[in-house]
Amino acid sequence: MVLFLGTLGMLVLTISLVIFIILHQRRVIRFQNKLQQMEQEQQKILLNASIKLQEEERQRLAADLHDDAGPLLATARLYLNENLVNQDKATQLQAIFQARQIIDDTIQLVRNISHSLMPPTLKNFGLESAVNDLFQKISGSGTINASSRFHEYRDRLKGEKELIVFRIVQELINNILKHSSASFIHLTQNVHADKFYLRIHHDGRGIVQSDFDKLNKSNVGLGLKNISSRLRVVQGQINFEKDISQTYYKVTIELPKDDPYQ
Amino acid sequence: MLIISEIPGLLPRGSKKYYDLTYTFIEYSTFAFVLAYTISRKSITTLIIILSLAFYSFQIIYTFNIEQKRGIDSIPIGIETILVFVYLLMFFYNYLKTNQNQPIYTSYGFWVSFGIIIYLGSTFFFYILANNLEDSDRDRLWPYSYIPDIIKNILFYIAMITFSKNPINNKNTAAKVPFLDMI
Repeated sequence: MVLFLGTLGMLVLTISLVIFIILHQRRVIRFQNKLQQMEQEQQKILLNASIKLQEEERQRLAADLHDDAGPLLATARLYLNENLVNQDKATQLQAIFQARQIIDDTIQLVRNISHSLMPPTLKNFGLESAVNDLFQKISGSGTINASSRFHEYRDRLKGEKELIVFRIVQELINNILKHSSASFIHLTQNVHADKFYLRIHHDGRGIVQSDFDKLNKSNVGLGLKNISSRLRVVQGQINFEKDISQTYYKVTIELPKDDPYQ
Repeated sequence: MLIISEIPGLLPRGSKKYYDLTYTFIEYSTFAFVLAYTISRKSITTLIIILSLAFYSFQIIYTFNIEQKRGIDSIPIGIETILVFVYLLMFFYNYLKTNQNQPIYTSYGFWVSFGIIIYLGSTFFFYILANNLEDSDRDRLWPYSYIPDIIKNILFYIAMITFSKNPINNKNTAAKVPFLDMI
């Protein structure tokens, strides 16, 4: 009897174990498929956001060139028409002076457009200078107190990485200026255990990580989606949280530090 | 194994314990090797080797120091069963951890494990209590121990078919493959 019950019990136990494993794995597979589907949808949203952003940027460029550079050059052309040779010397000089002034303005305009595409400070002097420059300009407006401090930036990040980080910072600052009504923004940079950190503090209205995740999955919040896709390229992470004192909002960007030997 | 089971009756009286030693040794080694090969993780293979060496040492000490008057080597069989059950749990744990996309029954390892589980689970109590049974009872029940043996062989046959169909996908390699789906 003991033998029979023992054997039966053992059989039931082992077969139950196998059935449990099969059922558990089927559940895991179903969950994985769902997760994969969600991931694909997220990728699609990010891709659409990035395409939309690219299109907006192109439209902005087209508008700048068409509405500003176009009329300026057309005006310069008017000053330098064929009748100019028949005019008296004083008028000729006046027209040339005006045309030159307009061409100078056009050069400045084209330079501004080009700088908005790739800031020269970033290209020539690096992220630290570009961020300091940006913060000085914001502070100079007098409406908000903006400051930045780089603690350990002896080894610069690679060029393309610096540009991506700068664009993310620009986007974040833009959002803070637009939506938060903050009176100060402070940026700090540091390095810890092979990771590069940038942290932005501000005292306005902000968002926390759950809001960021929600906005990232929804159809609104193009700028935030753009931040996510840029971070994905540099294998970085972003964290939105409230300070322990519950007074400030902080955004932390974390990136793997560049290998100096690569 | 079924054919080998009939050998003890033909052996001289004193050599029965050596037959038991060899039988359990071959059986344990086969199960341990197949499971170690299927799991194919260095740390687990090392653990199986260490436990196997300990088991072999115990088997030798048991055979040469304990006088087995009748029946079979119940204690080494019990230890063998427990050890193989531990390896099976490691196999299932490792499989669930690494292969999350393919159903487990598409792997030959699952059918091998299922066969071993059925065989060891069904015969465990019988082999453990075999020496405490009357000779007549043991002889009457002995043929029933062939049933799980036959089931095990059928399941091993399914494992061989599964292996021959897709030998590459049957190994636990998912953990080593990097994520390459980039846009």
